[in-house]
Amino acid sequence: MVISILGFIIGYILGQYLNFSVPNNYTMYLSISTLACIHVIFNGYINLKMKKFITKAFLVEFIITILVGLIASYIGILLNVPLHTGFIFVFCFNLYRKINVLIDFQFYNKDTATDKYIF
Amino acid sequence: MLDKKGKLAFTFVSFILSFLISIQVNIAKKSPTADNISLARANELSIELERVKAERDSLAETVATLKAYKDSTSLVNESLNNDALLVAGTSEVEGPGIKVTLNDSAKVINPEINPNVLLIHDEDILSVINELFVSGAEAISINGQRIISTSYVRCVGPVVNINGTRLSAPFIVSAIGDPQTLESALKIPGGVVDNLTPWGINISITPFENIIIPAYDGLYSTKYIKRTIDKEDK
Repeated sequence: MVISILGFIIGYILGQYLNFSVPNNYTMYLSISTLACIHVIFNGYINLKMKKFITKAFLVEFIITILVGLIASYIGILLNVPLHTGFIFVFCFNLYRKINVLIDFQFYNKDTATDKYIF
Repeated sequence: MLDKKGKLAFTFVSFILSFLISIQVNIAKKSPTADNISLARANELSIELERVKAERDSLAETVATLKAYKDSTSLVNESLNNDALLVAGTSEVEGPGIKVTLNDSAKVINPEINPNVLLIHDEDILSVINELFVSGAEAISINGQRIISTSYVRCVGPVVNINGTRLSAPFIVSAIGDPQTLESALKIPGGVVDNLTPWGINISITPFENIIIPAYDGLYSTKYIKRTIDKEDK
């Protein structure tokens, strides 16, 4: 856990130091990627708590989630349909659900938490 | 617990996440508030820009077409305008011509003669004007009243109304044209002069090398007339 926090801090400092500039048109993809990362991390943490964590599955989920989010957003732009909004909604909705599951898992019944997660 | 690979994977994803957040923070810092328009709005503006560009191109084409049309017709219009202005009577003109002076008869009124025949009437003036136009007169005025397309000559009691102005004898008809032709036309046997002189009407014709005829100074008022070209354009 400590090493993960360290990775987080290093990433943030590096991002500030490198001072990347992204054109306004692409900031949407950045947001989708960020939300996908949060989604994957929470998923991985829940799996870890449930002792179901598999490293390969975690990395594959990470790559696929980001790719699907980016591709769908790109297609949405081409079709003039705000698909990225749908993805943002799904990621945010899942984030709250996962927080709820983690709280259940930590403080209430583990079985109830597992049911919520499956739903 | 996590194995080594799992920890590395978590660290890697955390690193990517924080890196992305960091970039977004940088972008948010750099962008002024006014520039933080939503993507949907940016798309709307982009579509609007494309539409306006297309409209601009279309209008530019129309302007080019109209400019070409204007260039091709400007010479014709110029010559037409010059001639039209001279003939229309909107400007003072000069040139060679004659002055015809018409005065009432000096004969003593005789009970056997209708006194009306001893006076100048509208029809006498109209016959003079008509004869002058037929003979090639290009501009005519009567006592300073320019004769234009809507001019009228009408007896109103003891005076003659021309262009809304009441005039009385003597009537001086000025005409620009070839003086000799104009004079001959009036003096032709059986012509205007021959018809009026028997009643004692005084007619004198004087040729001039240069006569100035004033512009029409009345009002132009139209209610029903429309140019057909304007109707076609619509």
